[in-house]
Amino acid sequence: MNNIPTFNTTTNPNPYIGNHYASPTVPSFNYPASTLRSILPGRSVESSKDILPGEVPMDGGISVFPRSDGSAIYVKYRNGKGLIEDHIFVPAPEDYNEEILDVDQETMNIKDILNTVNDLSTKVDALSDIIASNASSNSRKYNNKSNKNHNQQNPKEGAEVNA
Amino acid sequence: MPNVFDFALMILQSNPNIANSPIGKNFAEACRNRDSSMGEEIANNILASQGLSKDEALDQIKQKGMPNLPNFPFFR
Repeated sequence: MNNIPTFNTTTNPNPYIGNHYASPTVPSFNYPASTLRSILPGRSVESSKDILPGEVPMDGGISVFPRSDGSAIYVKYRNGKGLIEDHIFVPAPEDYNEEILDVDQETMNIKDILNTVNDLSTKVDALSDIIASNASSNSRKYNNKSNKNHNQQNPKEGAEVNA
Repeated sequence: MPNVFDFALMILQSNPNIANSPIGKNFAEACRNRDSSMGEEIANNILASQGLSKDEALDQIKQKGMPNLPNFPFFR
């Protein structure tokens, strides 16, 4: 007997034709559409002690707390270990002005480098002169000593030998 | 057959609230490495920043459910 399976297409349609099953994957969840905040969290405070830990968000975003007198701005956020980190920003003085260079910055850097190289070469020349003078003085000392030893070993006739 | 734990961790890390948060990333990393000390440190730091001790938080959970932690977006 041939036990060939037969498919009843009316009640048991072939799932691989027509109706396609989705392969099992991670189910999709509906997360909030956007986690970007349109408003910066924070408020005006009298001092840093007025800031409550609950006002610092848990998602790592910053919260800004300007002082009411305008003397500083406190910025707080949570790091990866859950601790609150804070930074204090103080207004710049009135006479603060960014430097405006008349000369191209690259040219300034090259000139600085050349000046440094010139200074270094001058110092190297001075050092080499010192070394050379020391070497010559040492060689004179060694020559005197070697002559003394030579005279002691091979004294001239009639010469007094000092030990 | 994938591990149920790894599957749950995959779902957890697919949540952008956790993936984009430094605390969430560290917490997921601690879960993946089975590092209970790291998870405990994170939890203790969060509680300490809120002015709660571990015992106080546990008492709150027993009485009222989750402790009073505003701005807790993970389980929105």
